[in-house]
Order: sequence, then structure tokens, then C-alpha cells
Amino acid sequence: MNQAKKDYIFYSIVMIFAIFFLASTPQIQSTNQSFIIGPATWPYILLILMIFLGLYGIVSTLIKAKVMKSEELIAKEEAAPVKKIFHLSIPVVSLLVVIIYVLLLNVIGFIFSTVLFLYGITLLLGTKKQLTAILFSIITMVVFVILFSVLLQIPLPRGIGVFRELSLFFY
Amino acid sequence: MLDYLISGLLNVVTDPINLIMLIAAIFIGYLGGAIPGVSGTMLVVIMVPVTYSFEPDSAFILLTGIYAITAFSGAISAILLRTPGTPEAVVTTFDGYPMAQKGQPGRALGIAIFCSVVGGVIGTLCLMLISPALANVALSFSAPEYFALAVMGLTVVASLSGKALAKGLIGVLIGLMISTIGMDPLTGTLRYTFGSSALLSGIDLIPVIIGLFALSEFLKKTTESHAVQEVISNVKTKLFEIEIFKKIKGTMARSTIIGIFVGILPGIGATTASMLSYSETVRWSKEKEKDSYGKGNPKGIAASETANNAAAMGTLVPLLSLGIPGGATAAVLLGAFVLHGMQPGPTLFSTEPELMYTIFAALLIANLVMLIVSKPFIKIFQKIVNVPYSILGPLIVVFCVIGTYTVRNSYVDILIMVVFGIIGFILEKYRFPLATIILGVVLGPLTESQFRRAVEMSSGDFSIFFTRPISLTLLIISALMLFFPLISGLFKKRKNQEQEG
Repeated sequence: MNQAKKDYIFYSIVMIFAIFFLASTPQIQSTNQSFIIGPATWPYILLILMIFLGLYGIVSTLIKAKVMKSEELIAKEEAAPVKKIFHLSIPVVSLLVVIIYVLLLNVIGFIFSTVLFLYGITLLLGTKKQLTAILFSIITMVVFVILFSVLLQIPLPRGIGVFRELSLFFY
Repeated sequence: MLDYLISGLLNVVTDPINLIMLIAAIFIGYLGGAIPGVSGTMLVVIMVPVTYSFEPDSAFILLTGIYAITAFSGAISAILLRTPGTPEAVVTTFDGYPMAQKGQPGRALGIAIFCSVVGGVIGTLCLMLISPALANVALSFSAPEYFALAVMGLTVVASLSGKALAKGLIGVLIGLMISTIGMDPLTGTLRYTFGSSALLSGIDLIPVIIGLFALSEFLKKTTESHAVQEVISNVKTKLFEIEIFKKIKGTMARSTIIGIFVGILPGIGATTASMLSYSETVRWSKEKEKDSYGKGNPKGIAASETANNAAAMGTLVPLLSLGIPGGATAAVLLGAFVLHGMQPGPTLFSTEPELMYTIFAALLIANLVMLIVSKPFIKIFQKIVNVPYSILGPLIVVFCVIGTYTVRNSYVDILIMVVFGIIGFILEKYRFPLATIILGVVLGPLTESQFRRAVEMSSGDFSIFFTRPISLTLLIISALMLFFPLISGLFKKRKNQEQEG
């Protein structure tokens, strides 16, 4: 994908974003009519400016793309060999792991989800030894719990049900 | 006044509890500030309830000490990890990280330490000496001027985005839109909550920052697992090098002034100060040099670190003399004063002069101590950097999660953080200037509320922004800043054409 195509997509997303919010702005009903400028005015100003800039971006990309074509300058593709797992690149897999971790956090609590997450992601990112990954994930979790929950008294997510009861033993 | 300062210094040094508090402040400030996701604001928030049982002296030595140290310590991870430890150090990553990558992490850190101490100490002296006079200037401001000021802050980063001005402006607008989500502060009306109770209090700044800068960075780095270890190791901090100092002294002087001035103006904190100072430094440099910014120019580090430390001290001017918080951390400190049964404001200097000067003394010592303590601490920090990314990366993620969670104990904030991590990861592929979104979110509430207050003040007359001299001047400066890159670009083109012709 060349730069012009990327820009078209970017500005289109901006336009969609702005139009979506613009469509939901009339729902803002001020309960207090004594103000000259209601709560919807400011968002209207921002969104109209955003649409204007999005249009400007598309038009300027059009002009630029034409100039580029006449000079026959086509951006080179970055085609570095990428390591893949299940046809997905490492950052995407990592992202999925992070999302699973965050979702589990509210169900099985900080202790278990953190250990599982750390174990999985450490192996994914290239730690070779199983033992290192296991020790690292358990020790790190313990340090975090002691540092934040016990010493700084910050309540960490406990999860639900059995996991909640279990976490109460530790923090 | 000097008597007060001396008694303040003695109060800090001779009282064992106060001394312990100062040491604790330094330790917590370094550790917390250097660790990404643990911002100075958060550290102060955590410590406020802890200090409840302390004497006011000890409590404020601890709180303001942490505050002073974190103004610098965020730079360590900004330089060595490209993950700013605190939001104030975002701009330090621009040149600090490239310089470290080039094999000069020690020099980058040395510049950061030296500039931080200079900025911090001069900032503290200004806080002590000219705070009443400077506060008077800001005191005469009202809504239209504040709005103009906020606009000025916004245009600065938009112009920072350089060639991608449209993208930068869109970033600012997105940031401003994010800040409108939640309950409208003036009327209490709900905006864009889409029926979700979690969005009632809006989207907090911390998840946005952590997501955009830290989590997206982690995702990007997952492919280059060993890069950090190889590039940045064997850091020998070079505290003072005469040839570097000669290069950056002008930048330091300018950045100190910018930092203090911006810091004093309420609502615009150290983060904006360092951004403003950075873009000013780029603008003031010679044409040949301009390309070297973002690639490890020492002036870039100096601009950011001098300004954010000076601004951190400047922010305390309106807080202590007027009772107006200059930023998020200052707002928390205001809460701490109230917790201890005091109301910051002009009267505090006459009722509690000893406490005020104890705070000044603690700030002065904390800033000076950085010269000595930073070197050994960076050695400890080195151990973290020498760990491979397959270990460090996951740690960063857990810190991102906990850091986000602790601010409001909100699970939704974690989800928001992840969403912004994804957005940041995607946007970076489109070469989008991420900092502009942050600026919009930081200045959003101020810009909007002052805009509306000003129009209320004039009973609906929008010309109020242009009829008041200070507001008009600030708006003209903003317009010039915004369009300067375009205009200068046109001039350059014409010049080139003439030369070719």
C-alpha cells in the first residue's frame, strides 16, 4: 500500500468518525437553559472543523498523487521477512494476548491472569527456557502484589466467585 | 525573606522525620518516575492519604519532593526505553532516545540531569523571589485571556507536526473531542456517553497516554525483541561536558524562561511547557540544523528537560500564591492542603510562612540532590534495561495495566487504555503525530470552559476575544504560530525558484 492510499484511508476514517459524532450530537439536550452557549456548541465547532480538515486532506492527497504519478514515483513496499504465527504477525498475536489478559483480569483476578499472561507472552516474545518463563511469571506476580497491594494498598482486580475468595487470602 | 528561607532549610535538615521524608521522596520519586505508567501525579495521589497523619511540614516535604524529582526522573526511561516515565518527559523521547540509540545514552542522560537541575533550581528561585509579581500578571487574566492562552498551547503542537499539519490539527481535534465525553462541567449535561455509566466521568488522561505511548510502543517492539538490549547498554553518565554545554546554553536559558512562564499560567503544565520549548528551539535554530531534531540533537533534550523542570516549579506559583492549581498534580496538592486544614492562597504566606519556606527549601534541596543521586540510580536502572525485551515488555504491559487501574480503580479505564494502545499502534503506521491527541485531551476542558465562560461574560458577543488587548495579542501569536510553517514554506519555494531561475 503506498502513502497516498494510506492517506485516503486515514482521512476517510476521520470523516466517518466526525460524521458519526455529528449525528449523535443532537441527542445532547441541555437541562439548563440559562447558558448562552449550550453543551453541544463546542462539539459542533470541533466536528465541523474536523470534516473540513478531512476534506482538505483527501483533496490535497488527490493533487499530490497526481503529481507523484506524473513523475512516476511509486513508494517502495517495505517487504521485510516477517515471522508469523497462525498467519498473524507477532504484534497482532501480542495484542490478542494482551486483550485476553485484560478480559481475564476481571474474571479470574490479578494473580492468576497475570501469571498466565506473563508465562504466555514471555514464550511468545522469544524466551527459550520453560523454567525461566515459569519462575519469571510467578516471581513478578508476587512482587507486584506485595509492592502495590500490600505496601501501597492499591486494590488490584480480584475477579469473581472462587477467585475473589482466593485473592482475599493474599491481599 | 532570607531569614525565612534559612529557617526553612534548617527545618528540613535538622528535624530527623523531615529528613527521612525528604530521602523517601527522592527514592519514591526516582523509582516511580522512572517506571513508565507510574506518573508523578499518581505517586502524589497515592501518598496524599498516607500523609494524613503526618505534621504538615513532613507531609509537604514528601509530596512536593516527589513532585520535584518526578519532573526529572521520567527522562531516564524516556531516554533508555523511549517510554516516558511521566507525561512531562514525552518530548524528551524525541531526541533523547535517538541519541541513546546512536550509542550516546550517557551523554543524553547527562544533558537531561544537568538541564533538569538548572531548570529546577532556577524555577524554585523564581517561585520564591518573583512569584508575587508574576502571579499578579496572571491574576488580571479572565476567561477570554485563558481561552486565548489555551488556543496558543494547541496551535504550538499542531505546528510541531511539521509537514503533516492537517494530520496534526486532526489529532488536536480528536483530543479535544475525547475531552468532551462525559458530564459537561458547566451544565452537568451528559455528552457522548451512549448510555454507558462508565463514561459519565469522562475519559481520563492517564489511560489515553499509557495506551497511546506505552502499550502501542510495546506492540511495535514485539518484533525487535533484542534491540533494546543491544543498543542501549554500558551507560556512563557524562554529567557535564564543556563543549556540549556551550552548544546548549542558549537553549537552556530560553527554555528556563519558557518553562517558568508557561508553568505559572494556570491549566498549562510542564508537558505543554516542554512541547512549547521544543518547538521554539527548533524554530530558533539554523536552517541546516533543523533536520537534526528528532534524530538526537542535544538541544532537543535540553529544551525539554530544562523547560519541564522549570515549569514544574512554576506551576506551584499560582497554587501557593493564589490557590489556583496549575496542573493535575497541583490540583492534588491543593487537595492535600485542604486535607491538612489549610486553604492555599495569598493569606497562607502570612499565616504559615514557616511551612511555605520549608516547602521552598525542600524543593531547592530535592532539585540539587539530583546532581549527586542520579548517577548511581541510573546504574540501578541499567539492570532493567539489560533485561531482554521478552522479559521487559511483559513487565511494561503489567505496569500499564496497574498504572491505569490505580488512578481511579476503574476496570473500564484498562479497556480504554487497550483501545488507545491499538489506536496508537495503527496511527503510528500512518506516521501520525500521536502527541497532538494528548495535547487536545490535556487542554480540552480548559479551552472549552473558558470559551463558554468568556461568551457568557460578554452576554453572547463573540468579539470579546478580539477587543481585549491581552487576549487579542495571544490569539494573533497563535495564528502566526499556526501558519508560520506554511508561510515560511512558501517563501522557501519562491527563493528556490529564484535561485534556479
